[in-house]
Amino acid sequence: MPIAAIEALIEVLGQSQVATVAETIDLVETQSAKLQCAVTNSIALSHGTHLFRQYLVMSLKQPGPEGKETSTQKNFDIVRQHLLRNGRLFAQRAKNARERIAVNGRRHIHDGETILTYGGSRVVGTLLGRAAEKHDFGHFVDDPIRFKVIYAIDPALETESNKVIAALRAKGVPVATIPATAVSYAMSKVDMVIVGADAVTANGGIIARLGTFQIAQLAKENKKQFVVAAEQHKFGKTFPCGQFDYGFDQGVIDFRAGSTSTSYNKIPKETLAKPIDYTKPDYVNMFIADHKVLTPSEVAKEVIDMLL
Amino acid sequence: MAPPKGGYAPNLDKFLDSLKGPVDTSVEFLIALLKRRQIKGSEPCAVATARILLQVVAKEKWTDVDQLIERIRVVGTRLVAAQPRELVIGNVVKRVLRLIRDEAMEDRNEAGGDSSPASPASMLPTPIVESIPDVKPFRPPTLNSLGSFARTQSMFSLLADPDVAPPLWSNGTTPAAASGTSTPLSRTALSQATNISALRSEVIDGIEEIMDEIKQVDDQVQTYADIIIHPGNYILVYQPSRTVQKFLTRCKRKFNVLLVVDPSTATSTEDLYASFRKSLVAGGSTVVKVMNTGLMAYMPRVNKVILEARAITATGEVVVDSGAASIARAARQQGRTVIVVGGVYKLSPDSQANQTIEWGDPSKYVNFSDGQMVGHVKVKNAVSESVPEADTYLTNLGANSKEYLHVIIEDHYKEEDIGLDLYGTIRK
Repeated sequence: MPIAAIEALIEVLGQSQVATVAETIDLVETQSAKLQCAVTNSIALSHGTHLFRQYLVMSLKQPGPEGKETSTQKNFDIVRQHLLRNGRLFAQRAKNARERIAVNGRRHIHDGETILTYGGSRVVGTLLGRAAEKHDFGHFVDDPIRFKVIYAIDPALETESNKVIAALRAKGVPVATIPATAVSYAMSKVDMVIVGADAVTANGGIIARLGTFQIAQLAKENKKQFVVAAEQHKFGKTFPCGQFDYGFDQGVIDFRAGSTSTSYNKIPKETLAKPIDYTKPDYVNMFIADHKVLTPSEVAKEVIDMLL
Repeated sequence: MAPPKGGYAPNLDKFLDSLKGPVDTSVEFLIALLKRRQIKGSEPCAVATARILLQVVAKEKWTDVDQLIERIRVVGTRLVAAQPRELVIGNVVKRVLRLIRDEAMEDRNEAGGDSSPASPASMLPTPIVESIPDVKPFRPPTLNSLGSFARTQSMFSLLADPDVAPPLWSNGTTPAAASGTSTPLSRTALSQATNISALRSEVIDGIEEIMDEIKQVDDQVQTYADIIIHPGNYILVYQPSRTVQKFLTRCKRKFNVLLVVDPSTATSTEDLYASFRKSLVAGGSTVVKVMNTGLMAYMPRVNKVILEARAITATGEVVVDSGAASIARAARQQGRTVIVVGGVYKLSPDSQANQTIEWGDPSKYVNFSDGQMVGHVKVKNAVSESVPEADTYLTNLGANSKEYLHVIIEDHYKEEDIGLDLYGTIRK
């Protein structure tokens, strides 16, 4: 989603005739707002648009790419040209980020471990899949890691999960599927929990599929590592103060009363297609991002650095 | 902590003597010593690693930076493989690699300044780095000058322009860079002989500084004693190492020390800590010796627990002597402050201490002549344990919280070196 938002903004930038910095920033802001209005859950999207805006501000503030002081106008043209030219590249980079996460994450998975995961994250799927493969770097050979996976399944995410599970099993990784309700039961057999995230918040917490928070709490209770695999472009300045501070209503909690089923089925409250929850940084041990492995406090620092 | 005197078994001193010979022999000797645990403990391991790398830089023939880095990587990986539980070996290797990269980059900046500029693609440093060419020779750049600036950029790597100079962060943590096959350094004016000899001496100076740093840790950490220890405090220490002993004796205040000793070591010798006690008592402090089993009774009185770290990981996990983990846990359970003491060289950029628990010789607990036991019971004896987190990490740079450790790591290590020892086995 963040990447799609960035691509859309680049498209707008290409179509428009803006000629000054202020105009561009203005255009980006209005278009970002429009994008955010179009979806209910705009958190991941806003991280993308915000990153784009900050990049513009940042690169216009700095000396030109040759290291020489260029006039702002010239600098502006260079940056604009670069963005229009490389729109495709960003999507490609975002895709490559998953592979880089797999490389970074590999050394945190060890032989004989059991890993619990949840949801249909492609990042986690790639990470686990690559860990089960043999890698030959020329100087170094990485043998396949022999680990097991317990996959907690939520009926709402079943199709996505099944894709990942099939891919893992095809690679010879033993996968057990359990309902999300059995996580607590299975936790003592688990060495590490790895989940993906929709967005990473400014304090180093995560916003992920509904149910992730529960698993994080169970992992902490059982003193298991809770690891988040997320690309760097998912980091952003969102700072929720709790589960009901997203700026939109998910419709998860819906009170009804009445004796017959018909009486409370009349006006079903609309539930968000992909409900989310927020996991505080206290529950996260480690982030595996595409550029490095970080602690939550390090994530917070990167986000603050971006905002400066 | 000091290697046992006397006897004919080789130790650190013997190794240091052997350095006069050919480098390869010394490397093999050190690997053997590490494997046999004849050099053990974090400080001796760190010193030995720094010394051998110094020899590699000084004595071996290399014509450009790539070659040198590759050589250090190979030697470093083998040393780490010889004693994977001792994280300081990897730390020192990574510090040296960073040093070489910094020196090389600095040289290049100078070369780029007065000779004809190289093509933009081969210029590694980004404009940001060029704008501050006079980074101090042997010190890692401070966060203000380079660190935070580079980090700021990091979030934008997704949108960075590929046609401009390759960004600093792009060469880190990719398989290619991690395997060391395509380190995007040199190939410029660097291969000139004059530059090489200058670089060599600069790197040697740098490594010597690292060795000095390791040596000075005790003295530097001591200076914080009066800040940490307050009059009348009850300080609990477990089998205090030299660093902790010096730290306590340096404090000019009157306080109480609870000296916890593992009963199995206490019975073997008379009193390992006689001089330590004497100097504390001379200063007016009280020393109470506690056998490990009586520990819990004292915990409510304790104000601070001071432990020596064998290594500290990026996530704040601490590798400690066996026995210390249960003390740390007891202290945390009762809400007592746990202070971990150790030099910055012990701070490892890796974040996985659960792999560092070392199992060692259990002969202290079970006599080998006891055939019944030896034959039927599997006895395991942990040499080191891991504590998930401490309250304060006291290094030679001062007292830090867990959240701040990553900043120190950024200042001392380069991202491309962090994965050094973890990429599989070397193909030979």
